[in-house]
Amino acid sequence: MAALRSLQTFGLSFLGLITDPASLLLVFGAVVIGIVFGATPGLTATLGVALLTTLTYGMDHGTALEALLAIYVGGVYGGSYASILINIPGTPAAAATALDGYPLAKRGEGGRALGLTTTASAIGTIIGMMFVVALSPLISELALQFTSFEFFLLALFGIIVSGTLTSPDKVYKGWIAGFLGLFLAMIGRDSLQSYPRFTFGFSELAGGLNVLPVLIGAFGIPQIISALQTRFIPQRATKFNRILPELGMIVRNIRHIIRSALIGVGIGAVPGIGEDIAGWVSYGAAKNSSDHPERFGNGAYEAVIATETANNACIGGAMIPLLSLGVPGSPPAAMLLGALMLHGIAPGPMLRIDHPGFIEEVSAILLLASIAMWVAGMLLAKQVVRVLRVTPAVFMPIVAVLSVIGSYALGGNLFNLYLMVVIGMLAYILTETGYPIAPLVIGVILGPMADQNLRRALMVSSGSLAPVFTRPVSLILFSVIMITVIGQFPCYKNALKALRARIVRRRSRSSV
Amino acid sequence: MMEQEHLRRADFVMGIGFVLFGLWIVLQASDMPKAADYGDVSNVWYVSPALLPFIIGGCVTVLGAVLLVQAVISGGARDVTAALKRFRFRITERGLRFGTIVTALTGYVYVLVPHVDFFLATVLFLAFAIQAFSFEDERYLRTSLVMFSIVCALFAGLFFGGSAAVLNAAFAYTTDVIALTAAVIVLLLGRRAAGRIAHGVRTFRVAAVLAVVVPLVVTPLFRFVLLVRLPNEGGIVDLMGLIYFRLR
Repeated sequence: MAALRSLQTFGLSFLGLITDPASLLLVFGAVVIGIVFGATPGLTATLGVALLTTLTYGMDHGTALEALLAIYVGGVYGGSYASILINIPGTPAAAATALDGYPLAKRGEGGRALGLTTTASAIGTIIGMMFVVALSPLISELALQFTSFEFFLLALFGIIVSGTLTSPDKVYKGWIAGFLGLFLAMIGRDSLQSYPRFTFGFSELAGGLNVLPVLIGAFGIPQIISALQTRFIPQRATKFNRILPELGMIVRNIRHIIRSALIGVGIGAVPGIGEDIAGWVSYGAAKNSSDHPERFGNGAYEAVIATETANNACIGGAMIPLLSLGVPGSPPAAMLLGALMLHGIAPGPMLRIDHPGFIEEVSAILLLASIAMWVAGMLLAKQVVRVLRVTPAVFMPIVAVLSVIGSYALGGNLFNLYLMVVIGMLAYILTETGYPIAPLVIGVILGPMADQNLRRALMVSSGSLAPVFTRPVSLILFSVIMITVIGQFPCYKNALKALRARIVRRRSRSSV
Repeated sequence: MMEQEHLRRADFVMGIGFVLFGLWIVLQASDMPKAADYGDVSNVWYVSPALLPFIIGGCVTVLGAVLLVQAVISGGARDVTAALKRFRFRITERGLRFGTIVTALTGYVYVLVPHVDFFLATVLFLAFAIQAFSFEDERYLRTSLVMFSIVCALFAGLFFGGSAAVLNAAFAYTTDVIALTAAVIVLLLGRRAAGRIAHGVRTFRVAAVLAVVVPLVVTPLFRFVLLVRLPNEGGIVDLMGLIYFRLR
């Protein structure tokens, strides 16, 4: 019954969207902006959502959500243009697409490749959206049974897992980044006793760090610096005639699409893991299961289908923990969380009670955005490709101006602006020295949740940690965290290797 | 990201930094109320505001120590000492570009935006930054960096020294006129350099147009559509306001 009601709300929301010309125009416009952002090397979907958040400040939450989700969907898809046509990924999410997309374009099949990625991305987004409708209410329902122990462990789980999976160098660098984020979240008066922590007498710090300037700084400044630090050598985009929808090819690759969408949704649902990892994992899975793995890297159609389906399905996956638990599944989702908080919406288990129909509204917007993305991709590809000629030297200073005014506009506070630059510089140093930024951001966002719930949980249990082991969800989360941490110790890895070798030896002996 | 060899060197330095930072967090947390009364609230250790900072500080210290030990084992410490021995101050092009971005950003955010009319501050920043990086000419990059640094130092002196308030009180919008002059000089400098650079004139035109058009769109959008009071509203924003309210 609840499922039918949910489906009805979703249908009505979608009908409301497609019958409202203003919403249609907004979603199409934002999707095109997102595609341009994604297609431009150096600009990402996260930065697109970050910069647009400021402009949605005066809008009602529904309109803001339409614009932000549309730019998110368009941004993730747009990255494939630069990957296929100039062999430079427009976004990290499209990095895996370049491996086979560019060889296809060099063979004169650029239009075909873009057609495949456009359709695969649209299907991926729609499958992800289906999971949002199906799973978010269930997880929200389950999360209502959570106590403070579960919420604290969930926050810790997000930081540890995100640190483990996104670290480009040593795993513990990801954890350090996560703890730095947690530290930043500790700045300001604590929510239980109002004690000022790490404020050094600055009244501006008493309310804690404003999340949005921190996110804009952490994602924007390192990108601006990296893009301008090296000389840009303009690449000539490979020519293509027209984009073909290639529905036959899509039908033939349906198993790759379903598998990649599931991978995308699964990876998206893990806190802080973005579309780039979904793309790579899906690429690997497609190669391993292919009848012709030797074609991968030389222009395999399955490869571009797999990566683009997965990275767009990841959007839906990232929305599931965001809406049901208040834990962002990817960096753009973290940005989206900041935007929702700005509009007075607190995602989490109470969302369905405080804002009934919100999850269905989000799903309806995702569906409309995926349709808009497909139409815009088919019609505007030749125009969008022109942005590939624009050098970062021209648009990055403009991005800097938008980041500055964006950080300032949220509260009209110069302190936010100063903070944005400091955080941006810190994020740049961390990026350069091999630390991921996603766990830092997840730490900043989940810090207050971790702090309040740890103390509240211990207050209820009178300082006892026993509920961690007696409550099933707590125990699962605690076990996953411990396995993730211990799994990185060399002694554990060596023991595991020795055990595997012993099993193999025993098997070979018994077969002899 | 850096190359592996440089990474291990950086790990050594960052490891020391993180150990010290973690210990500092623990020290700060030890000053917070623990099992005592604060604001008429009786505290037990597990409700203390110091609880999570203690955990964070401890974890950062331990992880920093692991990073440090790993860096020492993989030769990071040896590399740092060797690098210090053969250190010779030399600015690479990458370093120069990095310095230029940092100077541009900090100058814009900490000196220009809070004190100069937002429109003019943005024109000055964009004219400098777009030209500096679009020309792809090291000589011009150096000249414009010196020029922009002088402008920022001049404004910093004027505003932090208190002379700006005196000047603006005597003649309205004096600092705006100085900012406008600086923007024109930066553009003229670019126009002069454009002549000797391949595709320079075209690049200069794009930079000049964008330096004016972008603030011309962004300023009214935020001020009159999104109703955000700008950090500093001088002559140009006032003029825009006059035109906007006359037309409305």
